[in-house]
Amino acid sequence: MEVIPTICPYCGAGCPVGLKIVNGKAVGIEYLSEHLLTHGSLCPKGNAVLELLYHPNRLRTPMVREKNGWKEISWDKALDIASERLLEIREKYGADALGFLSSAKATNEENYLFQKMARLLGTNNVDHCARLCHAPSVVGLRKALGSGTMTNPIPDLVNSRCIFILGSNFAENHPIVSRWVLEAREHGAYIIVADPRYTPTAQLANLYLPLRPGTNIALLNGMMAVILREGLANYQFIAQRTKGFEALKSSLENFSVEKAAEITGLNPADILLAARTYARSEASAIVYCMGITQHATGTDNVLACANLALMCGHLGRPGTGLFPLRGQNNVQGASDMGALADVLPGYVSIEDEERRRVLARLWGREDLPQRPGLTVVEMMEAALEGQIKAMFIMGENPVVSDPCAGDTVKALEKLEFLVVQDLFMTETAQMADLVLPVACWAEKSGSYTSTERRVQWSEKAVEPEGVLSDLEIIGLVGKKIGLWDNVPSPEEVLREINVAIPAYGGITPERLKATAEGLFWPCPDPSHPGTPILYHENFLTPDGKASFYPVAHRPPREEPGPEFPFTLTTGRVIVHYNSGAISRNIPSLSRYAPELWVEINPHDAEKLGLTEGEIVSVSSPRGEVKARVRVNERVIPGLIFLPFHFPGVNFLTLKELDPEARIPAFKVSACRLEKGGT
Amino acid sequence: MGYEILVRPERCISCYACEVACAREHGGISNVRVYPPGIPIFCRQCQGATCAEVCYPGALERRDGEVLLHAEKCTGCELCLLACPFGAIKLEGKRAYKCDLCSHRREEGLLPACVLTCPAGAMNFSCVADFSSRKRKIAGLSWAMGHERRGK
Repeated sequence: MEVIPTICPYCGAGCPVGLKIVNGKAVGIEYLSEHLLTHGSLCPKGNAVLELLYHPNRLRTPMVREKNGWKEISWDKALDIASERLLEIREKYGADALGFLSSAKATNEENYLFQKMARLLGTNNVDHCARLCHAPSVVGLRKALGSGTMTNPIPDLVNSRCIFILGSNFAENHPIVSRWVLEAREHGAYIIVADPRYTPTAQLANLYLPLRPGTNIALLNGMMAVILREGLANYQFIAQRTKGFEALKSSLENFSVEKAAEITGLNPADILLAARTYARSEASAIVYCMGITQHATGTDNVLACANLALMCGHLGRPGTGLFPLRGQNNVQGASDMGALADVLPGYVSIEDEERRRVLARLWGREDLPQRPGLTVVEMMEAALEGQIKAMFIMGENPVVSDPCAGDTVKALEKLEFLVVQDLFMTETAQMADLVLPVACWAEKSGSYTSTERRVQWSEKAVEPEGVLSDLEIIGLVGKKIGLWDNVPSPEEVLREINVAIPAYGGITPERLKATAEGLFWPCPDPSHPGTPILYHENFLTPDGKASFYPVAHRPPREEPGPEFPFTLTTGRVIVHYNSGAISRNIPSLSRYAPELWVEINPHDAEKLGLTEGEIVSVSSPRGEVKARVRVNERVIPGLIFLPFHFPGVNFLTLKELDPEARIPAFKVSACRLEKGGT
Repeated sequence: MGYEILVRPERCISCYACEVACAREHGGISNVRVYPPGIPIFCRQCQGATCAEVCYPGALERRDGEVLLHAEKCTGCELCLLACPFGAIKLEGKRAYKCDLCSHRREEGLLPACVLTCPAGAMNFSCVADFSSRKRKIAGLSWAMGHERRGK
């Protein structure tokens, strides 16, 4: 028996899982207790990975849609169809009629090659679900600090003396973070959790702040007003390492803790306590997640977090920093690889002609397409309007994950050609013309970048049956189209990444395979040890200084009214994963939560005459979904919660986009509940 | 002093990792149940094991600091279920099941699966003296810091 180390295919934490292999088959898992992040631990999803590997519903043969249903075809035929149709449509309508959705679950090498294919075909219409979770972090933190990533590794939280958690339910979504927050608490750290819903994460707090949905900026500005008034800011840090402080200061002159309390619905004394504790502690960290980003003010929310950290000088040291927790095993890597409509690999702006041409030459071209592409939601809108004619979707399930998903269905129906690569026949794959079955994480090698910027190698543990890896498919399609001559190995692609992306310069396949802990980018050359903590001396901006960007509270666009009297917020739960395409298929996970439910406060339930367990219809101006009632005090009166792992939930959510990051405002919409159905 | 699985309920995040891990290690049957917020219930390997006392075929036996279950002797009479003060024994298909401290893993020199898998570090394989000494230290520090809990 042999134990092969792989990286868990679920969330962005990047926990290692050992697969026990006997005669080429995975017979069990083993906990790799040497790993410094996890000490071997795994959440329930990590424990159930073998059920994914050997799932009976996994797709095993390419399929093409014909008049009377699906027809199984050979790989050669399938790849011919994919390449011919893409070329035909490009010929007929131009390259910008093509849209590519890359995958935050695929490896760095697959994402790199996928966006390269799109760009060599002549379009920047390549994006992925980072747009739906942390685009505001990428945009906001890059503006303020120079890099849109987590500043410190997760285990470094143990060095914090105050951990301020906003809009993150890591106890369910990134369970390993709990270990380090609890460890810090036991070393005397003060834990503050701000969340409209009393989540399992809130249970870990010393101070819980149940703010109204969509009022994060008011809370953060209120705290900053306190810190300024009481002289608790780190003026030395502000003077030496930042700019724009005066503008921030004047923007907060007319704001106060009382105003913050009025907007957020919080007790002013609690805001004071949070502000004083965060500012006075020797090392304070901010952990945030989609409760901050999934708003029409997502970028502003992120900037407000950055302002607070900068004002108190809580950056660049152990135990400090900003921790945007990312959702998918490789959403950080897919973004780093440039699978985004507005940037090339390494976050090079498409408008940066010089660096664009450098990359073009590496790819054997004079130049690359110059116009920024369409983002996830914009691509669907363009498809609906008939501008996008063909889409290539690698391992994403927009029919469940897009906001206002009813429009997504219509958009996909209008396409002339849709090819979907996936493990399962997802809701999106069912709408495709061509479905290509892929290898899962254990059936391929490659590197993944965790939310910590930790790049780790995952080794192929078992041989795939009937399926190809995403990398092989992209490689073969690109070869048939004539974009390149050979189908590259993961190692070959990573070596190209070492050249294309300076921060990955020293992250070679050889080094990654030799280390169990991975390497933290930036790691510019093969002798560089990697950079676990960013901004120790300089920020990654051109002048090395960070910037304050004053932001003000704006109420959510959709507020409850007479017709839709409740505020709907959405989120994730422990046993499920994102669109549920995987977790709803895993028996030992889905048995805990087999169907959609809605959480409602006992007061509201009583008013509406709803009882635990009955089916209710939840509707917004955009759609309706049926869910089973769970009455509990996790939600405050007036608020309801739906887990977004189930089809239909996003038929209710708003498509309004953040103006800069183009993320939809998933987290707040108005809705009503009606008794209905069985 | 013997090692046992000791729980710190204040660390449990009710994630069910221990249940899923236990079921995988024991042919689909989990010998631990988590009750939110934060109490995993499983066999305490009692010193005065009432389950072993009532087990007339001798399927349950107290030995070397553990309560062993000899499944081949179990008649499925359910007396042990009635006797267990924690409800930690269950019946599936006419025989009793309970935590065996992952005896198959310990034979290979590995810790019980629930202990290793717990993301929050709520499950500890430790002796009572070490466990309580660590708890004292944490309690002392918490007092010294004067942290109280506010909010909900």
